[in-house]
Amino acid sequence: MSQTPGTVTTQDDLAVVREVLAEYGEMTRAALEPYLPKWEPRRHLYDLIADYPRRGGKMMRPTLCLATARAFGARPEEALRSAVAIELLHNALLVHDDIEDGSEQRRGRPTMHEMFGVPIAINVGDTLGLLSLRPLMDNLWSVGMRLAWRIMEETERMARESAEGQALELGWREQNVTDLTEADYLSMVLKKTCWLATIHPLRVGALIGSRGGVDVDRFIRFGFFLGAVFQIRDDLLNLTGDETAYGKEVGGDILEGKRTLMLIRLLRVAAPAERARVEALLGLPRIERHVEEVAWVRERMDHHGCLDYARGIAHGLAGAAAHELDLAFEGVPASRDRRFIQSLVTWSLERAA
Amino acid sequence: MSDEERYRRPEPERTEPDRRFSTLLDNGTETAEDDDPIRHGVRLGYQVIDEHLEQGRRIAREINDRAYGPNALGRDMREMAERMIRFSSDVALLCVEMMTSFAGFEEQADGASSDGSRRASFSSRATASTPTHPTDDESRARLAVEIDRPSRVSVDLAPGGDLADLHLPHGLRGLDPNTPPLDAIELVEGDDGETLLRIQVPDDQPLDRYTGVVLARSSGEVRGTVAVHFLR
Repeated sequence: MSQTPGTVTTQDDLAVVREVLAEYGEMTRAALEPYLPKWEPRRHLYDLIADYPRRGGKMMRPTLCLATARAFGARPEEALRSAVAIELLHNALLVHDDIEDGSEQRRGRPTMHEMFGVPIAINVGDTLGLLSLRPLMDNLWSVGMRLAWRIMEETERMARESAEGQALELGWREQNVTDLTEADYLSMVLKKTCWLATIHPLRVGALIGSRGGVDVDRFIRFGFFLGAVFQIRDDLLNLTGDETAYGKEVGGDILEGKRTLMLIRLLRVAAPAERARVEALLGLPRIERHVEEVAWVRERMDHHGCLDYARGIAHGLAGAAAHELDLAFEGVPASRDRRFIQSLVTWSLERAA
Repeated sequence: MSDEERYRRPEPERTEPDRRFSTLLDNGTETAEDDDPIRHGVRLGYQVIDEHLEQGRRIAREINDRAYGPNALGRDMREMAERMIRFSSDVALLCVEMMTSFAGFEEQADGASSDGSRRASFSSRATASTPTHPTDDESRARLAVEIDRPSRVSVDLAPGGDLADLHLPHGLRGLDPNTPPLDAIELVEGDDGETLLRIQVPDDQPLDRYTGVVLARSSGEVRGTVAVHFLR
């Protein structure tokens, strides 16, 4: 097993990650189910909104929220409604992201818009987002008015950061921007991925666990480094993963013109003729990008060591995450939940799905 | 000594410990990113997140200057902020957790059935107690719980304050939003000066995990939480 700088992670630690993801993931799924309406109109709405949540994702986001709350001393049920809201909003954004990216597969099955068309998929995504408000309002019963309102504010911040990140990436593709730097990529990932995937669950969990007694800005750095490792690994899996385990079409990011670290690296180190060919491919509408050209880009990435380079960047970020975790959780006693969060760094770096 | 003659120290480059991970690795020499992507990744990551945080600070300063100056706050807002600060500092909670055992519950249920009611009464005396003042270990208030169904009951209360001032106006709510709330919950004076948390559970109340917030009548502040998990 490769070693992340600053961490000593064993197979036992990774087993804890799997165990906690399974336990808290199941807890969240059970608590989420009653928030999915069972009345009409079912065929074009309520039967569909249950589809993505029931496909069985990793449940990392709600689990991180629950584990952080527990690490700070809360009961799971105090954070469960917030965890449900996070998972509902995550699924809402997935439905819309899949439309915006033109993705064909999600969690091993056709995407919502592939199955039911874009208008219905947009409405399903909208409804999932709106449904996430209910558990946030119900927080009143488990954490009180002040904290419930604070979590609402945190959610608004996270949603805004995520939308800004998505706008950055969509804009790059729309304008066919090809002179991006790695810092541009990480800035986009910070907003698009990290706020929802890691920073927000950490902040909300800590707020609930400490009854609002902790300064949650301490989690931004750790959340960023952890989330960035998670995203780079996701981008690598899109090029190298087993499609069945990964659940999305392998090579889909190139087909969709996503500005990943590997693509940015290729554009930087490629010979002028190669670079011009990549830029021409990215300038085409998606439907005109052929699999042969995608395969050529993928081969050039291998040739120039772009994947190994991205793995190196991810290793560095994972080391920084381990360092920032110690600062963010300073004074928090050792527990299975804290160990889970700690081990999540290496898990994010090495996961196969 | 005139102001011009006074010796002035130069402004320090920083006023806080430098905890950046990038400086731990940095030996003061620039390395090509191609040679060491790990080091490059760390430096780049800190550059991005530091800029993000600085941007947030700039925005916060702008908002702070515009809206939250001392004259911009009304008296009510200032009082509310002070209350929040007091409560935020009050994070050490009294935690009481008790489980009504099946065996114990059955015995008491049999004893309580003489009136023909199917409802049993179970009372568990908490061993934990809360100081009535944060620094006063001698003067402690005792809390007992009475609930008529086998349950795990957990009570978290901030230390200090008067238990008689507390109430649960919203009752307890299940995690399932469709579950009817448990409204028959009250804090009353019990025997021997203890405070009794009494929870009456309808026979057809669904199995669920119920939670509720404990408020102070006098201030409206949240003073703690109650969680009830029915064991059957």
